[in-house]
Amino acid sequence: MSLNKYKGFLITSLFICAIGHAQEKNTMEKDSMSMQNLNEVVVTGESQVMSLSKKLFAVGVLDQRDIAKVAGNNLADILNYNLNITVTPDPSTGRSTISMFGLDGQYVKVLIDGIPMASDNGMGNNIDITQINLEDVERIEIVEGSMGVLYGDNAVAGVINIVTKRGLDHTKWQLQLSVQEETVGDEYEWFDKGRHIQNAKLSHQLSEKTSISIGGSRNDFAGFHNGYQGRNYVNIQDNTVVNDGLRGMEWNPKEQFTAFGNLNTALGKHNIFYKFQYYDEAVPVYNRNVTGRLNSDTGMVEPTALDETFDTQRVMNNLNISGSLKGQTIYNLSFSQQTQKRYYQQYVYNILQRGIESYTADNLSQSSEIWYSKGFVGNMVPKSDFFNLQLGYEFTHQTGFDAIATGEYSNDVVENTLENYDFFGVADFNFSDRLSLFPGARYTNNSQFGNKLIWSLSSTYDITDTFKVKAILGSAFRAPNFEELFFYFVDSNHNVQGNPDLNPEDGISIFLNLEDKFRLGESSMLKTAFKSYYFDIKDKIASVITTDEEDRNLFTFANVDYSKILGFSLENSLIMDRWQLSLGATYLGESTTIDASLASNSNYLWSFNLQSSVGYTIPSINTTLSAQLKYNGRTQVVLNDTDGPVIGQTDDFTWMDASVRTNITKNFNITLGARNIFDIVRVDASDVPSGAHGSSVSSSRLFGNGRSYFLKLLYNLNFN
Amino acid sequence: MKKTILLKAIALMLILSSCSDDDGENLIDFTATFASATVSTTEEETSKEIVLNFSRAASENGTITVSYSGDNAEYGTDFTTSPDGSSGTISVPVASGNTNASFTFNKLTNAIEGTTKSVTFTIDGFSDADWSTGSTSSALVSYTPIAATSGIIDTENGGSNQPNQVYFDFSTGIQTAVRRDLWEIGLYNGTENRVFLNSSLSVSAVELTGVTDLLSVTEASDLPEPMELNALDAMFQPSTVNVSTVAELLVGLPVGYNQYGDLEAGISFTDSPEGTLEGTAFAEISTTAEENYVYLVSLGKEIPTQPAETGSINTTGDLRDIIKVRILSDGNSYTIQYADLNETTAFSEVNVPKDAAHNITAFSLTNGETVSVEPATEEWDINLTGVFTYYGSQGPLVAGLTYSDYVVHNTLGGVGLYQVTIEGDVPTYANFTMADVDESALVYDNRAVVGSGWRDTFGGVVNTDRYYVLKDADGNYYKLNFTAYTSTEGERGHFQFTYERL
Repeated sequence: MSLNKYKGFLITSLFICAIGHAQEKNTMEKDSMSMQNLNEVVVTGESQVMSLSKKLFAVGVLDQRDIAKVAGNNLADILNYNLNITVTPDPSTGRSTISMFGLDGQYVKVLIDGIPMASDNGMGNNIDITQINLEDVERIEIVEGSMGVLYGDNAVAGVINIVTKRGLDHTKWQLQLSVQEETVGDEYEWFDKGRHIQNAKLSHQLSEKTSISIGGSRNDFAGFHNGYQGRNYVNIQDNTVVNDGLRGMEWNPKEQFTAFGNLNTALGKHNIFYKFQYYDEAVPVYNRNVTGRLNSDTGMVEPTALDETFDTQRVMNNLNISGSLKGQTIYNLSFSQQTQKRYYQQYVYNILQRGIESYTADNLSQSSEIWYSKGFVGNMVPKSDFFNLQLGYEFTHQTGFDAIATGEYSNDVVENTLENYDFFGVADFNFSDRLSLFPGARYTNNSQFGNKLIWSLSSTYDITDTFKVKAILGSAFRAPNFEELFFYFVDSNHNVQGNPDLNPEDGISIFLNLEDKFRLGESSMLKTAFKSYYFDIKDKIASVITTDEEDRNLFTFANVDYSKILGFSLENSLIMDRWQLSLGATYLGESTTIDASLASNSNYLWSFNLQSSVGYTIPSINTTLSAQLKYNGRTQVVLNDTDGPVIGQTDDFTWMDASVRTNITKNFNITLGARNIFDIVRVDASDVPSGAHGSSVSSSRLFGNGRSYFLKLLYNLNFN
Repeated sequence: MKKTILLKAIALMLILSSCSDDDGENLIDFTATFASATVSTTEEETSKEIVLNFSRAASENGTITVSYSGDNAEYGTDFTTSPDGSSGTISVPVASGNTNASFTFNKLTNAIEGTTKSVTFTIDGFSDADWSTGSTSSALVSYTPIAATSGIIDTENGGSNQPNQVYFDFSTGIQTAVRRDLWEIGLYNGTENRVFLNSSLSVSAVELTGVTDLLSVTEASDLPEPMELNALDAMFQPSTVNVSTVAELLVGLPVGYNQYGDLEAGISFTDSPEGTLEGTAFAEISTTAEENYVYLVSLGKEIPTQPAETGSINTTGDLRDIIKVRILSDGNSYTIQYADLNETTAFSEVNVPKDAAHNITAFSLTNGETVSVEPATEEWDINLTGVFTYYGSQGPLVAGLTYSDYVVHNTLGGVGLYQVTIEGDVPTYANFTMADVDESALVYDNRAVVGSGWRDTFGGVVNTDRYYVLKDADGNYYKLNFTAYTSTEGERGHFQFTYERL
């Protein structure tokens, strides 16, 4: 990626700076007036999307303060410290995916303002969370429990909803500029090592009812060497290349650029919100091996390496219209068009001349386009206290291909189309002020596997005004992904094929949530929540070995596994004067039956996680100190070995971050902090999958890049 | 005002930290260089292609201007070129996307004995101002052969299908590439009467002991005697099979993991990897006709045409036919009788006389004629077979094995070779001299010393801990070192080695 690409962005930032300077004088006078004006602006729409979810489910919220504490640039930076979420990075591709309640990213749906995000080969699930920029985010809602009825297939463990910041509260204009410099472990250089982030955002409240916002963010992660010698390294002895495996990086670099804009306006009782986002990411992959062919004229060795670059581009257009239809009855309509393209380049890099000799591949390897719409009408019977109803539809049309997920030789590299028509309804039965019951159902019609029913039954019972019980019983429904359906890699040595006849996974999920609040004094409050959950997933999709018609071994996928997860968690948060404390623990067990054979049925394998955070504010110097810690207990999984099932495990490890955030002036603040204080890089593991040929037996998993330090400077200018 | 300074400082940081060192993203400079500084021609050759190599693929069309000067050679009288060079220079076209260009040197006369005669071509200019001359700006084309003392050889095995086997002669520097599927059996031209199989095409053969009537055997026939053979079961565990019919035997005839055999009893349907006369799958051909039995011959596997993905190979395709063969000899020639397996009325018969100039005479059972494959005995030292198959052990398993990137040396032609493993005070390839040669280490009874051990396909590297010393039949010593088994683009089947006369 060249500097040119960002020139526009930089010029814009400079231009914005100039405006800021010109407007500065007027700011002070108008400050007090705008405050009044804006308090009167009714913020509508934003809460309606999730309003029902909040009534039915336990919702955890991470707001801008939480993001600021860790100087988070993307979602991966902050989800690490969530008690029930584990972030798993893949250093070779740079992707980070999450698991929630012990279920992997396939069972969690990521939404932006209620609309599922296009992922590599699906809709909302298995998202690379490092691709979600937090610059224009108001808050992140983590909704726990089986959400299939409201959000469709794959929302089994829960939903993560990213809520975009709309409008301004106290001012007409707001300009935010920030830079962030980070070390990667102990590696840092002004350009080529470490992590460099620049953000710019301009928001304007055009009138009481209309606001716009535009901005951009660049995150340049230069990779983590960790002993590897980088791109231009080669070991030449006696005119011969000696491959010592030290070329390249431990974690490959990644450069991300996000541009975004939104428009929010109210027309009478109707609110219209439009959001645009462009995302570009480049990940170069440096080959560990060097080819040392000799130049036949000079006789000198010309070391070259076959390197690769993955470039992902995504464009998102989201439109949401909401308002009231008649009296208290509300409606909400969403439309979205999203495209994602991944370009793949493979080229011969001349190490001594530091340039590209030739391209061996330069093509579009993945492309998908999604048209999406969802709409619902809620509070349909506003006059009844006892009964209410919400009805809605959801429509997804996805076309695309994925040469990587389907394999290079696939016939199915030609476009595939997946279409979903869903209708859903949730009823309210309010038996008393305290007890409500919400049965819900969704009928889904999928072009690949036909009609299916997703159902749920939720209930809330308020024992006291603060002590509340929620219980959710629902189906655990996951549709097979693109790779599981269409993968194809067949040659003389391989026979790996997806299974287009796969059925969705189905099962039952039970989720119980008890929470209470205690006022401990004038300015102290304790919140306690106990959760228990149980997932019983049948027909779980797993890779299997069978034989094909020609009696050859065939590696494919089938609905054969059976998995049960049982967990308990206790979360406490305490606010006391200048202190904010939280402490939580979770205990989770998983029992797996591989290949539906009783012989491989395992006992529950338990793991224990602990999360804690401390915050302390010193008002006199406008400073907040915070620290957070997460202990990830040992995890165990059942693996299918040649000698039958064996238990593999990943050892325990602890994350800890600490930061100081201080306001130097009203407009300028600095955050200084450290990530990964316990310096985690690799964690011993015996459950690392070995390659297709079983040749790479690695006994550790890469989780972090060592203790890193960051400095963030944020300039925030409000003016009228 | 303080605010403004901060603002400016941040704006500056935004700009500065947005930059990065991106020099590496640009293409390297385009340079053109002669593929070889000296080109020799033999008396028989009337034209020679002169190649210009580029540092990278050309990004646009253009021309390279080449001038020439003759030593006892005049344009139009002693030579011409194509494209035409009568104006004093040659315009060599460069096509966008190509990594080389060439022109043809046409020889009109030959050198007079005892005089030199040559033409020197020099790069004189480019149509594109950004292009420049690389390391070798001129090439001398000699009218007579020039003896080679060292060289860097890019083999012509042909890529990821490895369609060719390549014979190489160190003293002349000539490589001869031949398709692997031109022949199935090789008739030995020495005093013994022996028949080799084409190991680079997975050819295998089994004797039907006692059967001399070629037409009596079909797929439905019973074997004269049941055989007990070793095999591998579906889980790759050793097991034994009893076969009593031709049909049952054919299941285990082709080279593969389920090939039958019994090494302890001396039963192998392939030649031994060592390539000795005693190791052939065919028994020695007797001059008494009745002692020569019928063989079932699996004609091996097709050479696939679809290239493999980067870093991988695709060398063995569909199984070819199985035919029946009986070979007789009078000591000076071989008589090959063969027919399709189920043919019962007539067979083909070809007589092939021994040819003293070659180790073996290659014969095509598919076309029924001899084929020119091996150069004359003294004119090759190593054979880069690419594919190589034999029945043998790999770890604990005994099976029909298929190798790629294989190299054998000419043991039948009196070439010796040994491997030098760099450890302790063993000199490196560069430092190895004549004084370091260990005459007793030279191996003359096993052609597979190099084998496939010179590269590590799992690691994706050439093994740099070894090189080889070779002594040709004329007593010249060479050291050779493999430098690549893939192209720079990662395609398999593009070997490179360097050698030097000691």
